[in-house]
Amino acid sequence: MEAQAQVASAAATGLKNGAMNGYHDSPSAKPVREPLVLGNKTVHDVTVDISRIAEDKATPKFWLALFASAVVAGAGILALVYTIAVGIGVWGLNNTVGWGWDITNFVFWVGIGHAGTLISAVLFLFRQKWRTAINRAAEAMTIFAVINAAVFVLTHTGRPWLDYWLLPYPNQMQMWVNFRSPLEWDVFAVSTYFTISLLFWFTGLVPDLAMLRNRAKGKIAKTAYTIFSLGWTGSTRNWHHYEFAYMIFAGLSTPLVLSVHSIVSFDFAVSILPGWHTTIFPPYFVAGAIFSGFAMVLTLMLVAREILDLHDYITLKHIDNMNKIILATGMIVGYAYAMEFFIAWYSGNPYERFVFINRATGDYAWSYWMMMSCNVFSPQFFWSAKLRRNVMFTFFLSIVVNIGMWFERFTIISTSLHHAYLPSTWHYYTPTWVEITIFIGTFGLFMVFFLLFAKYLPIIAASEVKGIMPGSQPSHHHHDDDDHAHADANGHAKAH
Amino acid sequence: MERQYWKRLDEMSTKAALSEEYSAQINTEFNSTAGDMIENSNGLNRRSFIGLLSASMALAATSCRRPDHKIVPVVKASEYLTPGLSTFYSTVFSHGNLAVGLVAKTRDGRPVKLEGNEKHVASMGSSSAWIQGSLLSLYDPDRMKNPFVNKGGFTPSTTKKVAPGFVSPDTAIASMADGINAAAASGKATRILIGEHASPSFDALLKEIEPMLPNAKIVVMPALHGGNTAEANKAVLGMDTEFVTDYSKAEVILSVDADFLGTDKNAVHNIKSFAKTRKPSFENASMSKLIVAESMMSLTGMNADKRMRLAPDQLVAFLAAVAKGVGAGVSGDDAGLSAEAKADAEKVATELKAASGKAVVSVGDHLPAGAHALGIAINAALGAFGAGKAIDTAHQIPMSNSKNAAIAEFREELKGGKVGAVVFAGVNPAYSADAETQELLKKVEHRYAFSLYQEETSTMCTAYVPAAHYLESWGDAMAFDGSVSIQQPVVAPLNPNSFSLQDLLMKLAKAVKADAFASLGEKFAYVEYLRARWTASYGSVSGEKPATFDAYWAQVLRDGLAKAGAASSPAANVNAGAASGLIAQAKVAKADLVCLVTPSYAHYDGSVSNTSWFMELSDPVTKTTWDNLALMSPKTAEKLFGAERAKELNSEHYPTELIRVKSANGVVELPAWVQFGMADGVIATTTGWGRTNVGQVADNVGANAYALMGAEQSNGYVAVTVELTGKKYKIASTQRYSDLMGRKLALDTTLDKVKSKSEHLVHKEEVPGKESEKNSELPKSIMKSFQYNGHRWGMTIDMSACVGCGACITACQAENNIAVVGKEHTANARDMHWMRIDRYYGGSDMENNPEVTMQPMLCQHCENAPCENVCPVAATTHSPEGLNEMTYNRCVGTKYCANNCPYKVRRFNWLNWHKKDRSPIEFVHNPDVTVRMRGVMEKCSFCTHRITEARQKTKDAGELYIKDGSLQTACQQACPANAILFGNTNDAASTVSKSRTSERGFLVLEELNVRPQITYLAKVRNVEGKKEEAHAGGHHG
Repeated sequence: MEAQAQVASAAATGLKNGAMNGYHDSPSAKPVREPLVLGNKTVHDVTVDISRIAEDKATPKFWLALFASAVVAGAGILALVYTIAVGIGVWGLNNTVGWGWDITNFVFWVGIGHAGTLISAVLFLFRQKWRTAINRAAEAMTIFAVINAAVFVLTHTGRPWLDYWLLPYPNQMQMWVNFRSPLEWDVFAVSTYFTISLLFWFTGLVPDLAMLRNRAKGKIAKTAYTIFSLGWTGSTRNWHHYEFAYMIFAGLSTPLVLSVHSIVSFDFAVSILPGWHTTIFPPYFVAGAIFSGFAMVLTLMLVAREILDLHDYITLKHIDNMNKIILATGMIVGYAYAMEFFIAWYSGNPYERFVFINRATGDYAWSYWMMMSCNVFSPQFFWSAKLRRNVMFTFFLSIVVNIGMWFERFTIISTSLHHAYLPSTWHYYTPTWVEITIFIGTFGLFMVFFLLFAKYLPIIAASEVKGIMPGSQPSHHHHDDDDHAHADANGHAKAH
Repeated sequence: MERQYWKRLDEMSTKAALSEEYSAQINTEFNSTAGDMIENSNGLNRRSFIGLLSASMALAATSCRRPDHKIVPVVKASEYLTPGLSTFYSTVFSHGNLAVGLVAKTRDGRPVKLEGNEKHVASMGSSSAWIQGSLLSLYDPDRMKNPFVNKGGFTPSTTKKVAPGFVSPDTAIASMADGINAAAASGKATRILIGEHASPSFDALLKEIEPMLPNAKIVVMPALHGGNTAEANKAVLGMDTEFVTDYSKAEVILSVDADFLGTDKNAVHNIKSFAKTRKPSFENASMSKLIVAESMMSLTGMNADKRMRLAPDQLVAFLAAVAKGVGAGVSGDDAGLSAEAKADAEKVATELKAASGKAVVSVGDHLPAGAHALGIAINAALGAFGAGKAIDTAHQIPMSNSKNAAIAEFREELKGGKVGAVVFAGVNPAYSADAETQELLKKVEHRYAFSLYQEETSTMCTAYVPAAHYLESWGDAMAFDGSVSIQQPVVAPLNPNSFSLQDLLMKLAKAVKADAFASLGEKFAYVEYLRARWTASYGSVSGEKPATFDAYWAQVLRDGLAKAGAASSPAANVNAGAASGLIAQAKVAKADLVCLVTPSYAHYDGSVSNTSWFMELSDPVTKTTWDNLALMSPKTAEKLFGAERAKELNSEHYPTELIRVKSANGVVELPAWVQFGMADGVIATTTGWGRTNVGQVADNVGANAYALMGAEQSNGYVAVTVELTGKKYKIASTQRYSDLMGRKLALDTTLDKVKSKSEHLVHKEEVPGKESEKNSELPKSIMKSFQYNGHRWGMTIDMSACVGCGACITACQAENNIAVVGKEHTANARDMHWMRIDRYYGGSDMENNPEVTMQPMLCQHCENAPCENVCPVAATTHSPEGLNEMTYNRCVGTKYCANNCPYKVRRFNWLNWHKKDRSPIEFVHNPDVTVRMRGVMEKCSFCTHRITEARQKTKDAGELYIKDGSLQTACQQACPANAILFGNTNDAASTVSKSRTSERGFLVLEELNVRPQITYLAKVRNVEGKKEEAHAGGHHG
């Protein structure tokens, strides 16, 4: 019944879309803006294109990829178990450098997670319609990245089985947490961020899950999609609630985009360590997080675009837009690097000066220059529109950017620690195989999640894409309509 | 009719709008009473659901409990023992022939800490790392447990538990007696080898035992022979002994290769007397001047006001030149001296002469007797000898006569095959003797051993009985001032099969001669012999004394010593002829490369190397652990490895090179270490390493440098050659950077500036908020400042007094149950010491003659502690008395506090360091201090348990405040230099409060406004010429 209703409504709009899409074929009427969906799709085409991935039988390639990812994740998990069983002494950290790969990886993954919220919330509020092609995957990536970040933050402690002590709960020890500690702020910042991101992601999924439910033939698939689509009928009230909830989540998430990484940066900024104690950190970390997040989205989406044949949905325009953001945030990050150096000199603080000169010339100079070349120099290629629209080059650069952003965190954390105030305490830090395995393992874990997501959930927000297709807002694209009336606020098609 | 609105797009199609199904759906969706649907037909609505939930919660919360039944404990109290309180016993530790009076703290019958006895002249309440560590050897799990008899020699087994030939001690002793008798029957001699000791009763016992055994003789054969000093004293002054120098009586001190502050066994006394005059203030702007001429960089050299690097072969000539300069009246050849050294010698002589009567020269024991003869002559000329002078001739180290002649005679006997049985009683020549002597000893038919460990020598013996630890045995020992202490056992032997050397020798005598010590009758034990001797001496005690011997005995045990009677100081008359004779023979090895073997700071002669505290105590000079090194100057390294590699080694980055050092006597492989201040062409290394069969800790750690020394040992210097092995070697250093990089952290100044009451004595940083606070405005902090009513604890550390010996480090380790982490983790900066000594080089000639600054570093107990506010679980907090407290139970281990500590004094338990502890090592732990598990942070607590104990005592006494001076931290108590003061800074009259007003005072990193509670007093150098400003070394390496 519901299915019928939806199909009926889809068919009704589809009819008109098909008729109106004709202008794409007319060379004389080049649009001011590039279309966001190519290939003269009808709404039904979108449904089919996106459901197809979940409905088709999984290929051996998929299983192979899943297996490989699981093996890598398993290795990481074994290394984690070893760490927890024996102690974090199996890592290379020491009394001078108390945080190394553990916190570097934590900040790295939290940073990756930033793009999801930015795309789904901020770009939504700013009515950036091109976000619809990538927001679902970006949000999923956010969730998986924050899970990986949690792996590090939960296991970097000496006694991880007591991590729950960081939660303020009434207890027989009569102990309260220390609200002055930035780590405590982190607990709230990251857990709030994760919760909101998860709910936001799930809310957005509901209409698409209903779409899959309606089409599902297998019993398991049908049951699962039925449960998670929460009885979506596609009714007006459903849409009304949905859109309202989506708006609220977008509103809630927007400050979180700024707060999470600001607070993560407080871990460092609030300390008294030269190289950490810097007021520029909050904006600098947020920019860096968006920078790395977009790079990661690109890495993943470019692969998905090829393998799942989503060329019509993730177009060169999307890639171009994201590359512009990478270029912009990359320059913000570069500015922050320069400003840090300037302030170190300008402050006249000898410890501060030393730390920055040491970054560029000391024992960890290789890491600093890695960061500089990947984060500041390499995005400059994106001044060229040609390169911004070159898929292979973008893919390569997106990886370079993430390598650079990893090194940024490592440079900030370990380089500042290894040569702090008293020269007598200066030391070096090298990770052991255990830390390296755990880090690689989190990539495996990430890929396991992402592959399962890409296979069984709609990787592109179908309902949203339908909403931005030319036919959904006829007045926008009615070039031959001199009246140029606007669509109503809901973006629903008006009956003519 | 009410107007109808579309509810869905579908209504566009009228058909759909009319269908029943559709209207039902629409009705459900837009039903105005949807909320009531929850109350369904079975009566469970929202309200009843909540009601039921609350009722079940209430039921779950109020459960029943079992009825009470009282149980009654067994009450059986031990005498003198209150559970939870410590009992203290006086005893004495003998470092060779140097007696150091101790007070042992025991808890529930087991010793847990050793402190110096305040009444004892050799310690005056202080101690050394060596003394502190002697406690750990008591509980060493590797101590041998079983006697054995094995004709083929003992084969070390991996388990040590199951090995062939284990017997009862009596059987082993009977076997030894048989061997001694058999040797005598075949016309051969028995030789009993013992180490040095300071016990008059043991000496008497040995004299009694000697004739009881057929054809037997006692030979004192310590691992490090020494003897040059005594030999010279004998020849020149007619006194075959070693004198003790009181450095507090000297204004100018010249040390020629004498490490009297470092490896000297009397270092506690030496540091104490030296440091007394090293704390100048505006009121009393005077201090002694220490001039050091040496070829290696010693701890004494690091404390020198003026230091001269001399090639070993120049040392005697230098002394000769000084002797000439002061008019010592002995002839010496100073022809070989370089012009520069000659000028230096003249200058030094002038300074010494100017301080005549208050000047003294110390000469390194390893230098030939001729060098000592020159030293004696100089001292005599300077008037250093005599009562009340630097060298009081009444202060002689007991039984410090030269053993060289007796040892040489023994070797002749061995060569002649005259020895049929040898008993190694607490000596280990298979480790420490030269190769030739070792071969000769192996040829002796009957070889027996008494020792703490199954070690190198005992494994080549045919019968063995384990020795008891000194804390388990009775004995006595005489101090250099003539006072005698009783060595009181503080615990019954942990191993019932072990006996003291004295008991064993008595048993051996009895096994050979049935009527030995018959006078003791039933009570056949050394303690009875000891008491009998003391009973005899009781009669001759002059002056006031307890009425009965038992009371006297109890008093001596309680005090820890029987005071010496007034001793006259024999006149020091120099026999110039004899002196000149010795001087003429004085030769120090001369070669392209010369190696100096000295005792090590940690292990001394290696007799108790299996003590992990020693292994982890970083060498005060090199700041390295778990290895002995081949120290060399940067230039020497350049010659060996080329300029580029030498530079790398110079920057203290490991791994380093492993080199093969070859002397005429043997070869050792040592890691090269560039040490600033070394003379070129000199390699220095230390003894006490490279044990092969002693225990888990020491086996195969470092290399045995005894191999380089010849049988004579009379000269520490041996000519060597060096081969490169090409192998890289990792060294575990606790401080990789020794350069202050121009940072004003460890400040120093000059005596001139103190004298002129310079305003710029020490550098003061601008501190935010400090001025406004003074003007009683609000401090520039948004946090409320702490209120300290009552006590507030603070510390002062005098860097001018601190010589850097490291006694505090080990004392802290013993007091606070600090774990040992091993070489690998030490190399990765995971050492757990709460107290460390940062050693910085500075000055204009850093490579050749660095100006060294020692800075003990520990938790500063900051008022604005950066560690406290970053801990998410509030595991580190501020106490109302100003302590920065660490709650181990609460610590989750984020390490954020350590990252935010500018002093980097926090120590993390990266692993469970105690996991591999073997019984009975756990008994060494102080029950007042938690043994930390893995995953928690720890750091100096200002000995908070001692504060608690003192507070309790104060409360019991009905007082409000802990009395100044009644409370000491462990580091403070151990410090021989009295460089550490601790107390209540709220009390303006306390010693610590007064010391904090010193013009030399500064806070490390004051500008961070963390408000540390440790005030450092700047190091003062007694140097000529003016320096710009108190500064830290500005060299960038």
